[in-house]
Amino acid sequence: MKRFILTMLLCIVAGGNSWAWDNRGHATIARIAERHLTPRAKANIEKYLNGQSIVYYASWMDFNRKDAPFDVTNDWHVDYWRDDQRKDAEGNPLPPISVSQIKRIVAEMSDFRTLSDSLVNVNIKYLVHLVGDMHCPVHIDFPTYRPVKVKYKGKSVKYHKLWDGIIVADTRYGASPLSLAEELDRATEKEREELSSGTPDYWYAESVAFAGTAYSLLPESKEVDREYITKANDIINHIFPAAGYRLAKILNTIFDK
Amino acid sequence: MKKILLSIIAVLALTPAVKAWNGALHTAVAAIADANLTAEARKSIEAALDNHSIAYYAYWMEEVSDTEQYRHTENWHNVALTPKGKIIAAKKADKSDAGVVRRADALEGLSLAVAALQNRASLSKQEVADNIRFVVHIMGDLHCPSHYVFTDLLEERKIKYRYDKESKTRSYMKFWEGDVVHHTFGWKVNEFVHQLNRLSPEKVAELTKGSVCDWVTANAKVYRPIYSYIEPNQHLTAKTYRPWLNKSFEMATDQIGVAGYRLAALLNGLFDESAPKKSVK
Amino acid sequence: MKSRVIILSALLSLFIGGNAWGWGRDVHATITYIAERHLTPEAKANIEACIDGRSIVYYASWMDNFREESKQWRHSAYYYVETGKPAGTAYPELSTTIKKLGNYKALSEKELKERIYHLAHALGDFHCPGHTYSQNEDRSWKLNSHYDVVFVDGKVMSYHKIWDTNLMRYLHPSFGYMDFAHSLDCNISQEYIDRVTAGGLYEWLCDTYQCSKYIYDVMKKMPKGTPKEELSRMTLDQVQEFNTLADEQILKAGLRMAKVINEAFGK
Repeated sequence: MKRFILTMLLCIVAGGNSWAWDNRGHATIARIAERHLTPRAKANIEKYLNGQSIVYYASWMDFNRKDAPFDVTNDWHVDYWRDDQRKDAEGNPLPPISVSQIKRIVAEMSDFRTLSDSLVNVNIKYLVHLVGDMHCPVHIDFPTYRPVKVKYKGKSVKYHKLWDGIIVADTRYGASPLSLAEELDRATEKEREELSSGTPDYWYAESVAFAGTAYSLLPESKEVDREYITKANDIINHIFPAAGYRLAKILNTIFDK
Repeated sequence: MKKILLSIIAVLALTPAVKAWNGALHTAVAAIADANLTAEARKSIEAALDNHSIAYYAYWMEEVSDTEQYRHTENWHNVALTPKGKIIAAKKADKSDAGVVRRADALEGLSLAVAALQNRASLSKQEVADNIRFVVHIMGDLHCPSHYVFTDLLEERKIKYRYDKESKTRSYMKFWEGDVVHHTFGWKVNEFVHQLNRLSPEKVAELTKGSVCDWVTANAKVYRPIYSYIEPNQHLTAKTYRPWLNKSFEMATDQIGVAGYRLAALLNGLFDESAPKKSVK
Repeated sequence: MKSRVIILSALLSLFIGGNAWGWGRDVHATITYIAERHLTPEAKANIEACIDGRSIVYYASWMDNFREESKQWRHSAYYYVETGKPAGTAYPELSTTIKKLGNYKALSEKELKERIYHLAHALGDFHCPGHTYSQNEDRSWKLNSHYDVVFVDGKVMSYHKIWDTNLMRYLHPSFGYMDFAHSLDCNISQEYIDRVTAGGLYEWLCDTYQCSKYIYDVMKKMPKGTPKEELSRMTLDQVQEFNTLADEQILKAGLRMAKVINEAFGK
């Protein structure tokens, strides 16, 4: 029954085409970030969001990817798009899309006051979402993991759906973004600094490692058992706060001035 | 079309995964308890739980109950009582008693876990964590009406009811494990805390007075009447379901808060030197 | 437009989840929670003392839940009122409740509680754009306003119900009332609060009507039973736009409810 509801919700959420952290995941990461914004950065950001919270826009990109003018963002959510293009025509390696976009937006926003309000507004929505996505183990090496199916509770489930939402939905009972953020945001200040140090490229490299671990933990049979879920939760307990702290750092750097 | 939409909503509203909701209510109990732990108790508890809250593990005991390692806990969910509401220790239950009575060993499980935690200096960190998680879960179960097995009401435990045009019947005991609350309030864990963690210190003192057995005896009085709310195979329609549910949801919801306060009192007594000790018996 | 506005409020729930007519249960909880966040400490303590120490959020859907048992509040499925000519339906009833709560110490315990439950719920439904319209318009299609549209995922749905229940949940399926309130009422200015809470029930009604007029003007009307291919199709753009509109109504409802409670219970 639970699975049935979940499937229904997934269908409702994204017309059956959900492949990002789900709404709970993205909103939780945004909430963890929000808890660590400086007052000045927070006030500046919320001015551009009409007094609303970044938590509210965490999944906005997922709903605005099919139609113009936002259809250009359709492949920003992952590192390499479905056709697995990792090299350009001359054979030079292409950088991962999500990370390049984050870097581009951060550069564009370095002097956000010179930009139009609507551009700042949409850039905030992009950052809030993409920093979450680049930490999702099935958004890394996306063309490889996309077709993978696993067995979960006796049924065949897409591997990426497992990570996008099923694990959290099935194990964090009654969790909302606010409550989940409170549960997960437990690092000391020193740990927070360590986690948010480095650059998007460095974080991406870490994500690649996590994605590999997450996949290698799957048993040969591709049967997801309790042991896998427990280990997956350990990974989630690390990457949700890490993504949140990093997002906070990016936003503070841009807006605390 | 309206019908289809309604039935979709009805499906969503009426059939939450029983286990998941159970999980949500257990988590709510633990979250309310967490809000009432003393700083010292919380510190030692979370140190044992690898820096997780008790809410994180509120449903863990249920999840591992089918593993070999924790098979011995499988009967630690229910409590058996005489028609007058006197507790029957499962050990003392007669061979002639029904299986459900003989398996109602929650208080024994709780006693063992509490005793272990009282002498935790001799335990490994893993054992401390396990026993905390047992206490957290069992205290939740001890505030769920369907976990009270009255020896004269065994048949009533099997009552089914029918909802509207559904062909399948629903279990009345399962109703008390989630739907009774969920069909009125769609609260998340933190919202349960906001709603229920607001009793006056006097009220809390009154609720947490005495031993766990005193609490169970008091709960038994409150829970026994639920069997008079329903007839076997009662047919509830979309129109009659709501008034029927209105008899129950408030008590069931409030008991989640009560369970939280009592769990906090028990854990504070175990993990904070300065807090009053609570005994099971 | 100020002329004759009629409110139609569907104070009825339908269902267990309380999810089909009027705002759904999540929206009602969100509105009352926004209100609670804006209560003065005195008003909060005083109103909670009248409802057994509970939060007003607890009672956000009491009117829906106890409709069958509580005869006084058992209105017909739809009830409406002309402003200017208060005539025994939703608007005058809500207006009476607000007036009576202004002198709440004079009320019996039962009436006091039920008036609070009424306020906590009805002022929410009052802001639901599907439930307000002008008497001058042909309201037959709105009254039963269940003309169909094709929702974004291809399902045919009643336009009215999309408004009542689906937009917030659709975009934010994991949110609870605290998440919604936190998101909408995050950093709004005092200037905004003063502006939207200015005036009284009548001005607020006219304000909601603007919203209502817009949502029904913008969608092509198609009677029930129209083949799916000919129905208007909602785009995600529209969902987002309408959602913004609904958000604003929810925020306003909460802030206005806080104003009413602060005025009545803040002394």
